[in-house]
Amino acid sequence: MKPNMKRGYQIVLSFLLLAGITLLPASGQRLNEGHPGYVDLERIGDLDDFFDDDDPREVNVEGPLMRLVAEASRFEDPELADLLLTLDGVYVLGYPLDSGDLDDFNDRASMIGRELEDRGWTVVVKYRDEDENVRLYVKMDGVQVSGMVVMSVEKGSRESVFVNIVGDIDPEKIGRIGQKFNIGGMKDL
Amino acid sequence: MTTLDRNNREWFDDHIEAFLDGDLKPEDANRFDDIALMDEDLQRELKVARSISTSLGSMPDMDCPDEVVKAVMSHVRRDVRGSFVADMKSRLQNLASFQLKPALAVALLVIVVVSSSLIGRRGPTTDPEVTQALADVKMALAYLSNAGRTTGTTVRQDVVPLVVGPVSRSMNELIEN
Repeated sequence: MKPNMKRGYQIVLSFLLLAGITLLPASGQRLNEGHPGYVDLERIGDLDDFFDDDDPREVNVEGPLMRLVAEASRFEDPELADLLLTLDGVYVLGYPLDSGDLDDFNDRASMIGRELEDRGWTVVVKYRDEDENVRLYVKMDGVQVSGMVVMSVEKGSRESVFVNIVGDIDPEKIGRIGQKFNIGGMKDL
Repeated sequence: MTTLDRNNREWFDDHIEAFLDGDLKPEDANRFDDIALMDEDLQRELKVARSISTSLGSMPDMDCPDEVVKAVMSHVRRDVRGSFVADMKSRLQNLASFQLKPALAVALLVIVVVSSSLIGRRGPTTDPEVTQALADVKMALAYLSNAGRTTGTTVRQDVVPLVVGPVSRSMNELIEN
């Protein structure tokens, strides 16, 4: 390879690496798609079709943004910052829910749950009554939890929430740290 | 000027000021004296120049008007800036043409990565996107924690020690404290 060509390749590679850092999160491609703890809940639950024209509130925190968020929280909550640095991604989908849709949601949550179990996920919590439906699934990687999924709906709040957390998950820490935060509801996003 | 050649005459003219100011080396001063002795016209010229120098030296010092000082300093600064910019431009052109483009690109990349990793270490962030993302993550963790606290009607007993147990334990600790 001629020296000029080699230099050219080096320049192009450097530029692509730089561009990748800044542009990848905006491309729609999730960084954790190959991770065993990642689930594309919208796709397996066909949620956009299920909720018709309602635009979901979507949260995708991963990669460099996750590290920024971790460091941003270090000043106020160092323990949270350390926890976030062990996570590879946090994904949330939230859809408004009419009061009459609870049964339909339950059916859809059951369908997603079956799909998750077929993929090796384990159901940890299933709670259902006439006003609330909560499901918690985990993906085990040996003795380590590599993914968690929560599907939650409350009749009173008229919201349905799907959460997927990916990374080296310590359930005890999440339980302790998450308890400190109030669930403001997707309407506050 | 019968005995004085052109070279000596020019050397005399070039060095007469230095001679009167006493700035010539001893050997040059001796040469100056030798040349001056060769020609009467040079001796008269030297005498006139010495009298002028003496008269100027006896005159009182005069301050340069402020306007002149400002104008001169302005020109000096402009020249210095111009030469600095030209020098930097020349250096950058040399860098760009001197096989350092990859190194510059990598240096830029390092600056971006390092600065991004440092953001937020100085205190609470002010970046709205990061602030919103932090709020979103806290909300997601709250949902997970809430689900862990929920008493399930169907709970897999084999995973309770791994997930539900730790979450419940940490909750109890918080309540007790």
